[in-house]
Amino acid sequence: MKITTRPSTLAPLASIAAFVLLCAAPQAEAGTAINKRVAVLPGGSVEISNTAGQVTVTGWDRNEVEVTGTLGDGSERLEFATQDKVTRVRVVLPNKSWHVEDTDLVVKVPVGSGLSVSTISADIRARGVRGAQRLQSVSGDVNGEAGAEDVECQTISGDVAVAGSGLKGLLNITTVSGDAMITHVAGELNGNTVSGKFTITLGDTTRSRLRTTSGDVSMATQLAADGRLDIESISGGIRLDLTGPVNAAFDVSSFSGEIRNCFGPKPRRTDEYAPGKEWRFAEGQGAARVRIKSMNGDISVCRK
Amino acid sequence: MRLNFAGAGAGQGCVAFPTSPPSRVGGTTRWTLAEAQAGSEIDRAREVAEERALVEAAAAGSTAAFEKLYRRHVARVHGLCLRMTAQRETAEDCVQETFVQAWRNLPRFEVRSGFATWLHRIAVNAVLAQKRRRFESLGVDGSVDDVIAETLADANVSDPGARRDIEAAIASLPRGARHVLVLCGVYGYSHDETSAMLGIAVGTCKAQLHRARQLLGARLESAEEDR
Amino acid sequence: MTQTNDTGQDERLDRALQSLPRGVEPTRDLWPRIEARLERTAAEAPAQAPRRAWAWQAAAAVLLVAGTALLTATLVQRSRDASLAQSPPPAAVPGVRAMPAVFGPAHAPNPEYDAARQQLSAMLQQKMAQMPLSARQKLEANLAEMQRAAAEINAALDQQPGDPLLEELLLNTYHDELAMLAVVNQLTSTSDAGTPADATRMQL
Repeated sequence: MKITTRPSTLAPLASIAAFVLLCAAPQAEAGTAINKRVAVLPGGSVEISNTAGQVTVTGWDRNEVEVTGTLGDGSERLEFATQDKVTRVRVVLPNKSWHVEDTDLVVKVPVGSGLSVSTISADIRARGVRGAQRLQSVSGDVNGEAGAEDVECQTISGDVAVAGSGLKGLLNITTVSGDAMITHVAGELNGNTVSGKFTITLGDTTRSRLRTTSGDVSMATQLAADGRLDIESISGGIRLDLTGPVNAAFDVSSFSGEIRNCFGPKPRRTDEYAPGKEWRFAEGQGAARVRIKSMNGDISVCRK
Repeated sequence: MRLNFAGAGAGQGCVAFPTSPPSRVGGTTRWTLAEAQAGSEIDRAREVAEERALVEAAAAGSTAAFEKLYRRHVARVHGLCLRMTAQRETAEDCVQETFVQAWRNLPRFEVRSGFATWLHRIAVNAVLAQKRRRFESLGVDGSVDDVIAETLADANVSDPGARRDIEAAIASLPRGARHVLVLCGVYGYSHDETSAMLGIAVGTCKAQLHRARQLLGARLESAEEDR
Repeated sequence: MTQTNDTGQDERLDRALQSLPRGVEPTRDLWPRIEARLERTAAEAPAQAPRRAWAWQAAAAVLLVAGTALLTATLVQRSRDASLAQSPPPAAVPGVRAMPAVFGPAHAPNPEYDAARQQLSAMLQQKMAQMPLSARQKLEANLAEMQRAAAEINAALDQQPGDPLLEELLLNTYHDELAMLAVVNQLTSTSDAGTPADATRMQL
């Protein structure tokens, strides 16, 4: 959200009329090939929405946004407009329609752009974009790349795959039932799911926080010297494999799940009158912190 | 579109505030919950969650929720407006304008950001948008003292006289210096943040702060002599 | 003036400035006049699509404050999942709070929150009704999973009152449940995704 010293510019974004349509020609008709390009201001953001089909976004080093692809039969039009620093690419469907074919969009954006992609069932793929990203789909799969800026991926049932780029940023992943596969990401990670299965391999964990209700979490990582790892589950199983030297304080407890550890002391009962086991000790210098809690999900911590 | 995590404790102010390590208050990281006493941190987490809930409810159209936000934030917004404008009626106009603008722009507010900071930016805009009043150049018009005095009557202050002197001294500063001093010195915003809010260069901001401190120092000295 | 004196004076000044109260209550209540202008704003712009998009998040968020899983309980009631019929949801009646005893009355919701919640839960239910049946059931089943988790933790807390692990898990479950509802709201909102007809296209 931009704050300027002119209150008059704080107009609601919903006012489509405020957008300057740069396409002098009529909007792309349905079933047709799309091929449009527009110059944009640097340091801006691109917002893309599509219902069904595909959205593929790549970053390039031009201050231009290019959209190619095919507009599905039955679609009303492709809206493509830019105002100030926001460029919008939106597939517009008629209000009542039943036979709408998929729209496939291939979008190239300036590499430093902010990016927001929103779909219902269209799959999303984004590569080489270095601004903040929000990729969300109801049931489409999301395939993204972590960077130095915030990246957020959200789905209900779509699967999420995020690969690291060597840069350290913040990655937020939320699914209801979709699975997530996160590989070689560095920096900070937040993961939330109800029943999705999360499989994570990290380069090193500076800070990671994972929450699941019933989905399983399986994580392999090296702990940074002052790393923080916090995993919580109700009934999902948690598996942590630590690579590299381990210098951490462990605080692991489960109300009625099993704790299985491949190193360190045996877990002990929290209280002689209650269920509940805990495993608390420091390995090495103990500078990093690992906290794992579950209600009845089993927990396993090993060194690889 | 920035995913902006600025919240409470966002960095070092331009004066020597004690700083704590940055924490993503209001964001999705709950490290303090894990690391500190469960009781007070659960309260803090709840507080943050409550505010977020109110903001989202208000953004969806709930005036009941917005009124709650108003009650929570009006004192700070009013304090900022009052000290920046040094006039009671103008300050009240600014407060009203701030909340009305906030209401209109709530759908554009990123819930993860700091709501108080966002409100303050709107308040500063409202202050800057005020037309210059005739009496401003004359400095304190007396109304600021009344309001501050009433506040101090409730506050448990060890030296109300000294506090009144500072407030009066701030109110008597020239406009530019006063704006910078209030944002930087009282509300703890950094030079970058202050200059962005006021629409001035960072260098100008630093120069104004320096000037404000000198003037303030001189006025406080003479106030002490008078007491 | 020497350098040291300058620094000393600056420090004293900074301390004095920092000690000023940041909050200064206005001498009169400004809310009525603000409220009047809000109503005028609403009258001027009756159909604000972006605001509706927040409705789901707002409803979810209000429930977070109320500390109850009313919303999910309502959804759970609608679901045809047989296993849910066996474990009674904590709050089956609107207005009844499903607060675990351990949090106590100090954290009970207050009337303003209830009012806001009432106002918004209607919009929420309407939105869910637009989804195709299978998608709605799948979503409800998942959200019910969190509801079931909260019930389980509450039951355990009855046996082990004050257990810090359980308390933390419970609090986080409420937070997470409503954060999840907020995300679902955002994902199923129509302002970005195109037209209201998109809701009927949702197949999970």
